[in-house]
Amino acid sequence: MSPRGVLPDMTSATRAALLLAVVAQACTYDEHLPQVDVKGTVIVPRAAATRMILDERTGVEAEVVDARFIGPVYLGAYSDIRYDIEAYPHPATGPIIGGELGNTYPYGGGTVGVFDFACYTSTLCKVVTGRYADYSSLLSFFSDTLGQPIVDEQGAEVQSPDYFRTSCYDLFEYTEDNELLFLAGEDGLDFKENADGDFEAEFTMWRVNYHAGMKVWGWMDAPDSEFDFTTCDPTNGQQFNQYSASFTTGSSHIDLLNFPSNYIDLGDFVVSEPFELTYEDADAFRDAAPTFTLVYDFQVGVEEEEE
Amino acid sequence: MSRLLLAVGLVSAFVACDRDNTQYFPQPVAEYPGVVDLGQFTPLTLADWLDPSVRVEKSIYDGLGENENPGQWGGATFTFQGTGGRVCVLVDPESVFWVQSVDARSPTDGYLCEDDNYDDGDLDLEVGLSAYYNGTPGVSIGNFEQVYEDSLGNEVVFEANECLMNGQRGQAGAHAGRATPEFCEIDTSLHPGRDYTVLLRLWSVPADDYVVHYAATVVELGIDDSCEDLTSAVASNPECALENEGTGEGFGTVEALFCAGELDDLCTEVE
Repeated sequence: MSPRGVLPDMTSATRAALLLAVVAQACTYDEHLPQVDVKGTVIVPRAAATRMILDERTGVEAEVVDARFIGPVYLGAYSDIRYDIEAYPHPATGPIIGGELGNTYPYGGGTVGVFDFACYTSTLCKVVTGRYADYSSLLSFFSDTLGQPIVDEQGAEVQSPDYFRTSCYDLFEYTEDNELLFLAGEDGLDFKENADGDFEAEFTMWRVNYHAGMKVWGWMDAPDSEFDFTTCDPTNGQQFNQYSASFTTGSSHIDLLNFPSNYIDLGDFVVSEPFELTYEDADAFRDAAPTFTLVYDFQVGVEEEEE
Repeated sequence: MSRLLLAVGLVSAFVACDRDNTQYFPQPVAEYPGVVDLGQFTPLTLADWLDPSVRVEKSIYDGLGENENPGQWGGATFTFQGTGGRVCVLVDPESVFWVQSVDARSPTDGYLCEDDNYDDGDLDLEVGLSAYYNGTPGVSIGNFEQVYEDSLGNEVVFEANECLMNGQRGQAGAHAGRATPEFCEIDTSLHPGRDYTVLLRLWSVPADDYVVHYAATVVELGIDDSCEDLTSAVASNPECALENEGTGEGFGTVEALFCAGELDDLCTEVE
């Protein structure tokens, strides 16, 4: 051995191998994080994607089934879900402070689809990601299906996908369509019709604080007759101030999972049977790598009327 | 010359030693303990509030000294029962209203009235259900922080102070500055008959007598009324809704001039 230690006596190849071994060992280090990623499938009933649309030319109402009617689908992990707080299943809540229903103190959450600004203020709080393949899909849905054509800031109807693209690139200073979140592409659409005629999509709830016994629950925000969503806050989001234009791009309310009953209203679809995570701890959950199915089967306001 | 400079330096040093600024270190005052509990308070009705003499008679007028235990909060507490509706809780510490000439942001040039910079104290207002108050009334000052344990045994610290005031940028949880009145609305509809604790947290005492005198009250609100409606119904400025909270010589006269809108005219040089 040389007086300077072990390493100088090794060949460079040996040293490199030793270094690689040390680096590789670092990759196996398990931090035993208390957070887990919860994955699975959400199923929304066909009714959530169905609307009666009046054909103004013929005066006849026709049933239209279209996944673009599906609003943002929210998921949250909670200590418990109770059936005696609201007229629909609702997470357990903390103390009532100041006349407001208590905070649910969620452990984490996620969504399938979020609000995105589709370049014109006429789309504010109306466009959800993962629903539209391209510009044409969005334009035709609002114009032909909803009867609410998208208009530009001068009030003129936007009919050309190319004009739409130009407006978006100009506003956001983008150079590619894939920078626009609301354009999913054919392969990026969230929901697919399943064999039962319902619609399902995969979800991931990132970094949820794991607690054995916690329950995953959620709801889908169904748009109203004007295709507005209660979970969107038009005053939230990115602020634009350009020449005479001044507007915010809209975003979801910041406390949706903490105070869901402030936002769930008639027609929304709620999970009636949450799934419970019974693994002992986060490590056991990771080892099992389970996936879950969450069914949004309880339509608020409809169940009671039928009874 | 150097001897002269030395002499001037020595004189200056001795003069400097004459200022120890100990007046800025408040001392407890025997007649005004730093932690007091004022007991149960009956909220004023709107009719009580609109009557100037009843408003004063039924409201609290008192003073707070420095806490005799160094490093511990001082303050006053009192309770009222939930009315089943909304109430306005208001506190007006002395005295602040004649600081125009020393206002760093928009001083009034040529202000003639003497400005007493040492007679302002400050109290911060907190209100919540008594069940959530973690201080010991009359012994130690606490707050409204509590721990909620969910069904899986996880603990979350929550704030049960319902007196949330908005700051200049709209953020909740702000307090008014030096000696400025603070007020907030409390919705008791979910807890009628339950005790609510009002905490007047001692933020600072005046440097002149180490006692902050104040007026405080709780008033029932109508369905569509706000605290602003309440104060504007009886005064042009919340500072003037509960008058005479200070006890200093001439306080009442100056406050009356201020509330009548005549103080600035009186104290400003006519050009």
